[in-house]
Amino acid sequence: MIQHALDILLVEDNPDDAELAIRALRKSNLANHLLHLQDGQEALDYLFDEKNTKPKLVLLDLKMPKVDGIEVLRKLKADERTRTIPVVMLTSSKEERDIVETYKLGVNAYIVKPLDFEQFGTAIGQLGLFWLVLNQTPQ
Amino acid sequence: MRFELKVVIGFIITLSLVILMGIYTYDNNNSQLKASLWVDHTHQVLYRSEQLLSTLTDIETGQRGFCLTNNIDFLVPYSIGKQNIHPQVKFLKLLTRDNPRQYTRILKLEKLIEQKLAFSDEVVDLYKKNPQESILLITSLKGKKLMDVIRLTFGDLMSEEKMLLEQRTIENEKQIAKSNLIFIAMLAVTVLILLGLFYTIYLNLRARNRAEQELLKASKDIEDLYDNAPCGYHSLDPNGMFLQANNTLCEWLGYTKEELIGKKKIFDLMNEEGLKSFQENFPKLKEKWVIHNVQFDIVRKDKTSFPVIVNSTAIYDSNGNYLKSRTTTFDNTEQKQANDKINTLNEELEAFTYTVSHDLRSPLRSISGYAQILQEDYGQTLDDEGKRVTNVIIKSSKRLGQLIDDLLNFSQIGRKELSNNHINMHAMVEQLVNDFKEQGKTLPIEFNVHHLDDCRGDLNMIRQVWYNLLSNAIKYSQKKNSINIEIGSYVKGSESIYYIKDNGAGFDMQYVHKLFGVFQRLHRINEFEGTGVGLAIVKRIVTRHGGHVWAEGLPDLGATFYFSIPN
Repeated sequence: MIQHALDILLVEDNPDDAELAIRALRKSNLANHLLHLQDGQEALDYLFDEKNTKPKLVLLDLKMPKVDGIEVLRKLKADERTRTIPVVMLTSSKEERDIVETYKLGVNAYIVKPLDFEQFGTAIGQLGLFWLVLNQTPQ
Repeated sequence: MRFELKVVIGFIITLSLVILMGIYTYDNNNSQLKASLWVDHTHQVLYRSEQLLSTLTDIETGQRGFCLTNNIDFLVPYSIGKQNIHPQVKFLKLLTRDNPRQYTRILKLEKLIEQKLAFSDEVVDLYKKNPQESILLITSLKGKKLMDVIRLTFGDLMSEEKMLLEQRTIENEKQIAKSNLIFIAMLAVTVLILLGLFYTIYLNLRARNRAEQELLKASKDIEDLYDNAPCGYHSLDPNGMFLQANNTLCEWLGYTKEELIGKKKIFDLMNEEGLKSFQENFPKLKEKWVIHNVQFDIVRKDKTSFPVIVNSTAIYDSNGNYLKSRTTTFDNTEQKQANDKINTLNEELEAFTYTVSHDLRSPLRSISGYAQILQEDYGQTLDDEGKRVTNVIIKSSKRLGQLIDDLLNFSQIGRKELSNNHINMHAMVEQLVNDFKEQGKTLPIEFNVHHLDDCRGDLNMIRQVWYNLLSNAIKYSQKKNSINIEIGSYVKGSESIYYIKDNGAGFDMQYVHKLFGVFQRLHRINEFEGTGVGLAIVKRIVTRHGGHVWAEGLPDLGATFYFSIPN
């Protein structure tokens, strides 16, 4: 079964935030191959299902009901099959302990969403460009 | 004069007086002995004279009796007298040798006695041959005349000798009276000095006694203080054995002193965790003299435990060898409970701010984001009022976001642990000033940075202080034609004081108390931007470093902000 290419897996429980993020990505033409999942459990289910295509980048919200972003990150980085997928935390707050913990778990980047939508759009655009175009990942 | 000197001098004087009295008494005795010898001597002269006269009278009587009675018996005293008289005269001569007048009299008497004896012999001899003739001789009164002269001479001799006796007796009595007086005087002086000495010694002894009593009382007071102080005291030998412990500690622990001192080691009163902490700290104590505020749980006799906080100093002998440690122990139960409570509250606060930062910002971003979408996608269909309202929504949500960020920042500064770095203030400020110069190239700012004292503190936080103060100074000077900012420091007491002075908008001193409060602003938002947290952060950082902040200002003439950091 041939699967569509998947660039970005966005894991975000808040539909508004998700919409804003997708809109910003779309503006930079990065939302063509994007999958939005609504919580951590869905993300884990998707990523550990062999049938599914692995994304080139995971944008992970930190605070989610049931399985939160840190848990998802821990499982991804602990598993041989998913360890190499770049994971970028996309979160509302700059909390030192979250930054420290996620880096210890092997996060690839930690982005605090700017409040200003314009700045948010710019940040998301640059982020997508860097990870999807400039950055090289192991095949 | 010192007491010891007084006593020594007193004793020397007394001793000298006693010796003097001894010498004087000896001397006096000698002279009295001499005087009484002289009196004796006089008596003897008198006695011997009378004896001589009596002998002579015996001879005379014997001679007369014989001549009257022709009884030969009368010649017995006569011849005895004749036999005795010469040694008697000789003896008298010997006795009066010292007195020329008397001696002369004796010599005269000797001659007279010789004549008298010769006459008596003549009479007796003659009587034996021719009694008649001897009667004639007797009646010639030659013998009587001779005897009268002899008696007269004896009278002179004896009266002189009696006079001498009287003289000598008076002299002797005078001498005795005088020596008695002197002796009594010396005795009195000695007694007085001894009394004085006794009094001095008594006073000294009394003072010593009193001092001893006071010392005893003071030592009791100190012991009481040691024993019943509101904290535990103890000393340990190098092996950790109790050398001393006060009542308070014993009561806390449930041991008696006897059970503790010399019998228990500090390790016996520790649980595993405490032992670990102690092993880390006790060798340190030997090296470093002092440990501060080491906390551990101490185990009571009944095996329950309670938290304590201890401070120790090490005691060394004169050669620098470690002798023992001296420790104060405070019951840390209440403190620990309070700390636990603070920690719980802090955790709650942290959870709260964490929630605020996440849950408040998320909808806020939606408001701002969607308002922007409205503006972007439906801008053409909105009239001017619609556009203005949308703009207000966007601006207000941005400001609210900023307020939340600042508030979180402020609360983080209160919770974050301080690091302790050596800070080169001058370099730090120079760098910040350069950054500001680059950012605000359009603004003509003149910085005047004087020498700044180094300090110790949290590098990032102190940088934040300078950043906030600098940006404040620049912000409130923006409406001036030229901006002058002066930065300096000076030392006052045990603190370094730093200041930053601008010529900006300044402020009215009656509102100075509002300056450092959170969200307190002295200017309207459309005059100068800001949330009113910058100076509150400055105050919080400086306060956490043990310093304080203050400011001086005049409306439109500028402001000076000060902060101090303890050295």
